[in-house]
Amino acid sequence: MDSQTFEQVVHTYGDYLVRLCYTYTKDWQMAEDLTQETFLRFYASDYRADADVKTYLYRIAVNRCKSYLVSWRYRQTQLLQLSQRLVVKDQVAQQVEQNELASRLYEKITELPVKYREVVVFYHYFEFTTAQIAAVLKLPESTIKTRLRRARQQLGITLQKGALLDGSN
Amino acid sequence: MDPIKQALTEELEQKTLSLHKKQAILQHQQPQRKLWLPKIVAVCIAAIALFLLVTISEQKPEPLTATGPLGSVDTGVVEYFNKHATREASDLYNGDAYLLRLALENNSQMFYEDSQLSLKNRFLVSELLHYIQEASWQGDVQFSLQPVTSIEELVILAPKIISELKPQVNFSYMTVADEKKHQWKFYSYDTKAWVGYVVVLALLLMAIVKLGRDRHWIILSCCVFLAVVAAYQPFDKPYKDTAAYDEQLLIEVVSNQLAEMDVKATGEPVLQYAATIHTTRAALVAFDDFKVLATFTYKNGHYVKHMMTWHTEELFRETAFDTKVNSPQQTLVFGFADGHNVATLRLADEARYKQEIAITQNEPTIIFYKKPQDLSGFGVLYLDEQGQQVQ
Repeated sequence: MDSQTFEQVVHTYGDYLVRLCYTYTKDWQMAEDLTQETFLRFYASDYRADADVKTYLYRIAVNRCKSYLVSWRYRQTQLLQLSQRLVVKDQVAQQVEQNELASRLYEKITELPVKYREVVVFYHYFEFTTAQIAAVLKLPESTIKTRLRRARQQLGITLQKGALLDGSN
Repeated sequence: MDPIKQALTEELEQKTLSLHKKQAILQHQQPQRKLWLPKIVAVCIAAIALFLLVTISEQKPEPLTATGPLGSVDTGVVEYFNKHATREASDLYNGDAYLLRLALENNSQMFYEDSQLSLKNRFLVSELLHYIQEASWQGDVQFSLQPVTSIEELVILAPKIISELKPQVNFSYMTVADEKKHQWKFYSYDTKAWVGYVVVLALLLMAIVKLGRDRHWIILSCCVFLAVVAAYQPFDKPYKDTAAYDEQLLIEVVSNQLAEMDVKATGEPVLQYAATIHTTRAALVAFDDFKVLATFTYKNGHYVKHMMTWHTEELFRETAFDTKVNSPQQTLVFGFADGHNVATLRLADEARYKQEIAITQNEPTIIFYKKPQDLSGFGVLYLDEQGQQVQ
């Protein structure tokens, strides 16, 4: 892959990838690091120009994020975040109160298990079809549909309890 | 707009890949990882493993040796037995029996030369001595013994004599039915420690499997090291507190106890002897002006308590006891109950005391046993010259 093509891919997909990684990590700095790793892997890979670059990149990113979530780096980050939360507990509480309702819905999404969260993000934010999501996650399309339905159900239950929105799905 | 998309868009649209990160990507730079947690964990695990390796390996205690053995233990046993057989023995000789049993059971050349008997026969003879001791203490046991000419002859006779004494002798201080059998086993299992050890090993093995699956190789190697070190620990053997075998420690404990009780001793303490039987360690520490007998009780190898007494009449009067009775003619009996190891010291005056218990310098026998029922606790009573108690 030549440098020009690579640069173009970075500029085109950089922001999307970092957002995708962020939905997994909930940590902006780590999302950037994982995006960086994703692009470097992409560059070092035997990517063929005829393949769908978007799917290819997202698949690498998803794999990097999932590896991160079972890694010591993630545990280390959690430990740090926990200690920070303990120190600045009042500030966090204040911030939560100031957030808007939509942000609270986003928080509910981030509280979903990863397998549901990723499907929701791909479908609703990146506007992937279930077939495309199945290709990225290497899962049967029926599984994606099931997960999407259950994720919505979970969000619907949560939303009803929170009385934020009606008919969220 | 779909509320979920709206929520995600509002939150994520403000997130973009920073310029310096883009620059780093285009320059093919790897992100810098600062992984300190696994390093710290690995160092901690390795430190624990090293600590175990260096400290917990069981050290075999060095038995203290007397300044000189008192002769053949086999001959001593025969003499003791024949004294009882010919009615020459008094309670005083039970102190000798204690040391003889100690020598038979430990075969350590601590007080007597090692016995030539097999382990089984040594324990048999020791058991016989114990029954004779008990019968002598109880006083009301009717038994007759025929003198023997050799230890081998005694070994042959022992089962018969024991079976005769057994129905009459009451080991009131032995609460467990099989304690007689159990006491020969100097060591005993520390069940809690053993179970804890197995649990820790099982957890370590589970951690190794999990770490292997997650490919945390550095920590995995440290865990394997820890497991290997832990597995080599003698967990199948009971833990034994070797502190009781530390000569210097015995002296220090005695000195500190005296200081706590505000008893002033002159001269440097010298450990004249230390003896172990069953769960009790006894030590005689001599100062220039008096001697201290201390007993340290252990259970499952762990220190439980210690008791001590000392002698010179002046000290008894000055420190702990009733000063109304201060005639030097009176005999002081100082007793302490300590599980099986019930013991008492008797004092008349220093000369008589030495004569009675045959204590001479460097000769390791001052233990004198009274009947257990007389020694229900740690106390003192006064006797006149005829051995009658005075109030």
